[in-house]
Amino acid sequence: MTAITKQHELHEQILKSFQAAIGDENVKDNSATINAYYGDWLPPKVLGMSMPPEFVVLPNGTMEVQAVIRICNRYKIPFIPVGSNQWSLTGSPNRPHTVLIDCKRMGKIHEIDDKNMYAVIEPLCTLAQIQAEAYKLGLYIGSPEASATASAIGGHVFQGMWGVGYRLGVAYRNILGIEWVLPSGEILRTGSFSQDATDGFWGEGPGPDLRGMLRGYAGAMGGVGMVTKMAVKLHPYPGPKVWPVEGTIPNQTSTLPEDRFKWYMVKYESLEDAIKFMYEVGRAEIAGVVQKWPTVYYIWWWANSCEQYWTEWKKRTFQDNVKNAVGVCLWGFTSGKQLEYEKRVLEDIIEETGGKPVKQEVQDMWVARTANNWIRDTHGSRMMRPSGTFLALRLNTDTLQYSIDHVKQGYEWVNKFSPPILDSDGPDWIGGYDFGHFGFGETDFPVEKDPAVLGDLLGKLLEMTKQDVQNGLENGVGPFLGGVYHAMAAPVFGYDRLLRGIKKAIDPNLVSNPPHNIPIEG
Amino acid sequence: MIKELKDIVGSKNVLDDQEALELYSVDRSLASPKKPIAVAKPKSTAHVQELVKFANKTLTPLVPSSSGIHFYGATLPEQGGVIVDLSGMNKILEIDALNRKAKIEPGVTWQQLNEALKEHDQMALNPLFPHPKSSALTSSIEREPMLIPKYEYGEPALTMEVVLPTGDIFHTGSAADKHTKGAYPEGPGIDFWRTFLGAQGTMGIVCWLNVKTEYRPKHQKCFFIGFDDLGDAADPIYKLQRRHVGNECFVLSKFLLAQLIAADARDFDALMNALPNYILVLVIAGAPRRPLERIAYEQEALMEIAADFRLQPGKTVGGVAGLESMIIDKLRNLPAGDYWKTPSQDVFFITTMDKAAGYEDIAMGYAAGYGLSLNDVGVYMQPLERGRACHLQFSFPCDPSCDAEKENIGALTTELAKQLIDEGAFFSRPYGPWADMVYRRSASYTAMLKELKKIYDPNGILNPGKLCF
Amino acid sequence: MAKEMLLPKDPRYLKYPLEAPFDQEKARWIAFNCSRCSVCKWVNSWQVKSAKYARICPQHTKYLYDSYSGQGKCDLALSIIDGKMKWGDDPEIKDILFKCTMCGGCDAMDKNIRDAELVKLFRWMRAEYIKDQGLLPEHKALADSLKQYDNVWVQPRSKRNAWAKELKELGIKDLNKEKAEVLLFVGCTYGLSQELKGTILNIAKILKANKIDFGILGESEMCCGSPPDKLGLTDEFERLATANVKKFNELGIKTLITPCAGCYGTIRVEYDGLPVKKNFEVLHVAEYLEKLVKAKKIKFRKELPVTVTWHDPCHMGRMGRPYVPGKDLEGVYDEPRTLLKAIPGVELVEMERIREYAWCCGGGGGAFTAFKDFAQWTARERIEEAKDTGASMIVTACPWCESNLRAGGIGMEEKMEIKNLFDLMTEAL
Repeated sequence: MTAITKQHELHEQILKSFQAAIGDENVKDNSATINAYYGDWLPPKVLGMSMPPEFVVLPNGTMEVQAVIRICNRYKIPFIPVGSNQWSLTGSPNRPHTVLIDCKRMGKIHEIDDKNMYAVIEPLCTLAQIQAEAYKLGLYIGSPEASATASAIGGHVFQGMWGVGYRLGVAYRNILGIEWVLPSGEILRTGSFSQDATDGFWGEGPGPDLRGMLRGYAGAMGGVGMVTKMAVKLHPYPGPKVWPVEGTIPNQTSTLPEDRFKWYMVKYESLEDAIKFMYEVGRAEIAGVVQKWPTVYYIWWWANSCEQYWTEWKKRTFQDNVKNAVGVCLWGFTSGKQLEYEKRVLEDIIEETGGKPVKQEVQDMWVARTANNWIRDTHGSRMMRPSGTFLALRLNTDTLQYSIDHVKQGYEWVNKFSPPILDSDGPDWIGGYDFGHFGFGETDFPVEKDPAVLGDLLGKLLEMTKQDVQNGLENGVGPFLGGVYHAMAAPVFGYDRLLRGIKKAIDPNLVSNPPHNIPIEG
Repeated sequence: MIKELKDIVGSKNVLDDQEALELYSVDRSLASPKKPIAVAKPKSTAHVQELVKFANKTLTPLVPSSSGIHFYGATLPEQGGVIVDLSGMNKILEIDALNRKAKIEPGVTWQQLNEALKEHDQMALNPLFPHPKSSALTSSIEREPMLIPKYEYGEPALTMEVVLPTGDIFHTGSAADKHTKGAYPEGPGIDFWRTFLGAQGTMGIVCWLNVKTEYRPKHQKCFFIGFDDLGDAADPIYKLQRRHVGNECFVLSKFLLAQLIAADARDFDALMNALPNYILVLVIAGAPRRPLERIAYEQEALMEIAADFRLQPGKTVGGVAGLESMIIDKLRNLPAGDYWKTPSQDVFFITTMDKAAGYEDIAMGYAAGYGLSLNDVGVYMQPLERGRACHLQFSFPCDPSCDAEKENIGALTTELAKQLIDEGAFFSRPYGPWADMVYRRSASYTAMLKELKKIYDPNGILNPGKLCF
Repeated sequence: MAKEMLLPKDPRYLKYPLEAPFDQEKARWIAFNCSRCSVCKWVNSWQVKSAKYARICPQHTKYLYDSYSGQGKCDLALSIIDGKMKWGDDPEIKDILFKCTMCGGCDAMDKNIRDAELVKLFRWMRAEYIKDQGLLPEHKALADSLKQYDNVWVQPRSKRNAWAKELKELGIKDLNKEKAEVLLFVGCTYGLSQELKGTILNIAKILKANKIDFGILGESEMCCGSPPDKLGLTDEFERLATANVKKFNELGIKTLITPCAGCYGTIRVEYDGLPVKKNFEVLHVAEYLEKLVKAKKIKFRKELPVTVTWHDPCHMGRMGRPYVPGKDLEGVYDEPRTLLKAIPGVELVEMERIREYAWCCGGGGGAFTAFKDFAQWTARERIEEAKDTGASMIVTACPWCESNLRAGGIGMEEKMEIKNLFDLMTEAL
C-alpha cells in the first residue's frame, strides 16, 4: 500500500521558496491536502503505484508558474501540472517529492473573439464554461468522451477526439497561440503569441511549428512543462443560445431544434457494412457527428443507476438492437434547407447500403437522453458506474477501414482477457473524422475495480503493448501510457534520438512529470 | 566531391557545369544569387539518405529543392553546398480514393497531380492558381493557403517520409506503423510532423507526403461580387463562412483578376477600366450526391446574405463575358502557363479579415510613395478556416531584368514588411529578409527553434542560413 | 448457446446498497468508487449557462484545494478508513469537514453519474471526527443549547411563547391540548428570532383565513434535529428526532407543515432512518399553500410591481427527498414558483443555478454559526448571481437562507432585498 513518502531533506527551505514566490496560502504540504491529489479511476492508486505529492501549489498566472517551475529546477524535484484535475490520468505522482501544480487560480477566459472565432483561456476553464459562452455567440467548442468538466487546455493538449470533430476538426488543429512555461522555466510563446503576447489568433509558426512539441497522439502527459494560456478555435454553431435541457438529474433529456439538427440511428448486418456507410456519409460531406458506438456506450450513458444498467444489460435491450449501428447527427449550418438536403442524401445512402433504422423504442431511449452527449457532454464518468472502472484496448487512428482491423484484434484480446473483463459484447467504438478522411477506433469495456483484477489486467496490457511494439504496431493503447511506452516504442519507430533530445533540451533537470514524455537515463 | 555525388545518384544526375549552377543560383525573388558547388538529383529515398550521410561526413550544406520553380529564395544556397534537386522524384505513389488522399513525391507538380486525380473524381487542395509546374508537396509542407475555407481542416498534409539531417529515415503520424495507410498525422511520440512544416527544408528532406484530396465537383456555379474597398468585403465573407456557404472563396484586386483573364495587353487595359477595385470570387459546388440541390440551398443562403449587405452576386463582374467558365476552368484544370503575367514581388502574412483594410491602407501608402496605385498592385485576401483568419498578400510588379526596379521594389517590400510586422501582421512563413524581422521579436520561439535545429541537424548541414539558423 | 454473462462479483455494483446501514463499510464503498471525475466541483455541464456561474461547491470555490471538495473528502475518508491517516493527524481536517454547508450540490451532481450519497458520507465523517477529536469549540454553544433547551439558539423554551401567544390570540389551536389535522411546525429559527417571527404570524393568518384546521406546539416544540444531524452529533439527532416522531404520531395529525427548509428536509427525509416511522405526511408550507392557490382558495388582491428571483433552499430542493438511485432528484422546486407567479405584478426571473443545481446560500451545515466568513462569502456569491438577473429581490422560504443572505449582503455596494415568500404573499393579500 502507499505510504506517505518521506519528505525532501530541504523540505522547509523548498516550502519557504514557494511561499515567497506565490504567497503562503497558495502552497500546502499537509497530509489533509496532499492526500486529495493522487487518486483517480485508473489502476495506479488502487494498486498502490501512485503516492501523494509533497507540495500542492496554486500559482496564478504565467509568471508565478514560471517561479514555481524554477524552484523545482533549483531543487531538482519533479512537478506535475494538472488542469481541472478530472480523471488525472498521469497526474498522479509516481515518485517522492513531487510538486503538484494545481491551476485553481487560473480560470479566466481572457477573451472571446466572436468575429474571428477563438477564445483565449487559462488552464482551469472547462469546456462546459467555454461552450456556454460560445453558444451565446452562435459558436461552438467540442467536448470529448471524458466530459465537458475537463479543462479545455487539458483536453486540447491531451487528445480531444470529440464527436463534432467529424466536421469541425479535432483538438490538435484547434490549438492556436500558446503561452507555455517549459520545464526549464523558460516561457515559450507560439503562433501569433510569439510576436505579440496579447494576440493568439493564429497557431502555427513562425517557420517550423513548435506546437509539434506539445502533444502527440495521446498528449505529453505533463512531460513538457505547463501551458498557462491558449487560444483555441471556436466553430460556427446553428444551435440555441442556451443548451436545451429538460427534466431533473439524473433523468435529463436534451432535444436540439428540429429545424437544424436531426439524429439518425442506422443498423447494419456487419461492422464492415457499417463502415461502408460511414465512408459514404463522409464522401457526401454531410452530417456533424458520425459515430459507431459499442453497446456498452449506449447503456453506460443511458442507465441512471447500477441496477438499471445491469437489469437492462441482462435484457439485452441494447446488445440486440444497436449492434453495428451508426449514429448520425445532421446539422443545418447554412439553413434549415441544408438539413432537409442532408436528410435526403442520408436517406439515399441508407437505402443504398442496406441500413435499417434502429427499433424506434430503442432509438427513443437513446436519442433524447444521451445522443446529444456527443455534442455537449458525455457525462463520461458514467462509464465507471456499473463496475467501478473501465479500461480500453487497441486505440487507433488511421483510416476507417483500419479501425475495423484494429478493433477486431481488440476482440481477440478482450476474449483472451475475459474474465476478468466483464460482459461487453463487441465493444467497438469507431468514430469518423474530417468527413471520413480518418477514423478513430477504440475497444472499451467495464472492469471491476478490484486490486487483484486490475493488477492482473495491467500486467496483461503491458505485455500486449510490448508485443505490439515488437510487431511494429504503433497505434495501440501504448501512447496513453506516456513515458513508459515511449521508452519502448521510440527506438522502434525512429524517434528516440529526437524525442530524447527535445526532452533533454527543454527539461535539463528532468523535473516535468518524469518519466513523461520519455524517460532519460540518469 | 563530385565523384562521390556521382557514386550516389549516378553521373548523369549530378550537375556541376557553370551554366547549370547559374540557373540554380537564382529564383524569382529579389534575393541575391547564391551559387551551389553542385546539383544532385536523387531518384529515391535511399539516394537522399546517402546524400545526407555524405554531407554530414564532409560537412557540406545541402539545399533541398523540389520543382525548380521558387519564389521566395528558400532554395538558394546561402552558404554554398549542394542543391538536392528532387524534381526527379516525381511519382504519385498512391491515389487512395476511398480515404481521399494521395501519396506524392516532392517532384510531383500541381498539373500532374491534378490530372491524375481527375480520373478518380478527386482534386487536390491547391493554393491560388499555382504554377502548374511547381511542386504540390512543397505547397503543402510550406503551408501555402488553400482556396476552400469551408474545410476547417485547412492543413492537407497528413503523414510523410522524411530523411532527417542525420540521414535517418523517419515516418510521421500513423505512417510510422506499416500496418496503416498513413492517414493520421499525429505521433509517433510527439507531433514531429509539424516541425517539418514551414521549415524551408531546414529540418529534414521530405521524400513523400500523404495529402488529403477532396471530391472534384461536377456541378458548380461561380459568383462574383465587386467592392470599392477591401474592408467592405470582410463582413459578407464572415457571414458566408459562418454559414458554410461555398467552396472556393477569395478576394482579388482588379489588377490580379485582370492579369488572370486578360487575353492580351489591350484586353488587360479594358478589364482594368471595367472591373471594380476588388472582386470576391465564390464557387458554390455540388457535392457528389444531389449536387444541384446542394447548390440550390447554398445559393439561396448566398442571396440572403448578399441582400442583407445590399450586394448583388453575379455570374460575372464588370461585364466580362464568360468569366464564370474561365475561372472554373482555371480552378479545376490548372492549365499550363504562368497565370500571373506580370512578374511580381509578394508580401504576405496572416491576419484577420477585420484588420485587412487597415493593412491595405498601409500597403497602399507605401505603394504611393513609390508611385504605385491600386491599378498597379495586386491584393489577394484568402479567408482561412471559415473566415477565422485570412492570408493577405500584396504583389508589386517588378521586372526581373531591370535592376533599378528590383532595387526599388526590394526596398518597398522590405520597408512595408517591417511596418506591417510592427502593426501586428503575422508573418508565419518568414522568407528571406522577413525571417530576421520576425525572429527578432520572438526571442523564446527563436531560441527553442535553434535548440530543435541542433537536435535534428547537429552538423547544421541542411539549408544553413535560412530562418534563424 | 449464449455465453454466460460476466457480471461484477461484488453485488454492490449490481445494486447500490441503499438499505445498508451507513457504517464504515458503506463509507468506504462510496469513497473507494470516487473516480475523480470532478463533477462534484461543477454544475452539470448540460446546465452550465455561463463561465461565471459554473461552480456548484461553495467550499471548493472558496478554498480552491481539491481537499475541499466531494472528491477530496472521498480521498480523506479512504485514507482514514484504510489507516493511512488519523483524524488527529492534521488540524486542517477540521476545516475540510466543517467549512462545508452540507448543501448537497456535489451530492446531486455526483448522483447524475454514479450511485452514491456524498452528504451522508460527510455526515459520517463528521460524526467519526467528533468521536475521535471531540466537538468543535465553534459548535459547543449550539450543542449545549440543544441539550439544555432543545433548540440551537441558546434560548429558553419559554421564548417561543412570544409569538405563540400572539398566535393563540388569533385562536390558533394548541396541539398540546386539542386536536387538529395539520401541525404547523415552526422550527427554532423562525420560532426564536425576533426578526423572523412575523413570517409565522403571516402564515398563520393565511391558514386561518382559509379555515385550515391546524395548530402549533408552542413552547413544547423541540428542535427538529437538523443542526445536530448535519454536524455529526448523531446521538443528539436521534434523541430529538425520536422524541419528535413519537410526539407527532401521538398528535394524530394528518399533515405536518413547516416553513423551514431545514426542518422540512430533516423531518421528511432524515427521519426515515429512525426505528420509529412517521404516520403523517410532511409538507413545506409552500407545497401546502400552492394547493390552496391552485384551488383558487387564496386570492391575491394587491398588485406588487416587483421583479424577484427565487432562491431554492437546498433542503427543500435536492436534499428534500429520500434518495433512490436512478430516480429524479425531486424537491419543492415548482410550488414556490407557482406561488410567486400567482401574485399580481410579481415578475419572476431565474438565476442561472436553480433547482437541483442551485448555489447554496451558505447558511447550512453549521457554517452560519461557526464559520461566518465562509457562510457570508457564499451568500454574496448568490446575491451577485441574483443581481445579474435584474431582480431587485431574492425570495426564499428558509430562515437560514434568509438570515444568511441578509448577513452576506451587509456592506455590499448594491443592495438586494431578501424576502420570505410568505411575507411577500401576505403583502399581496
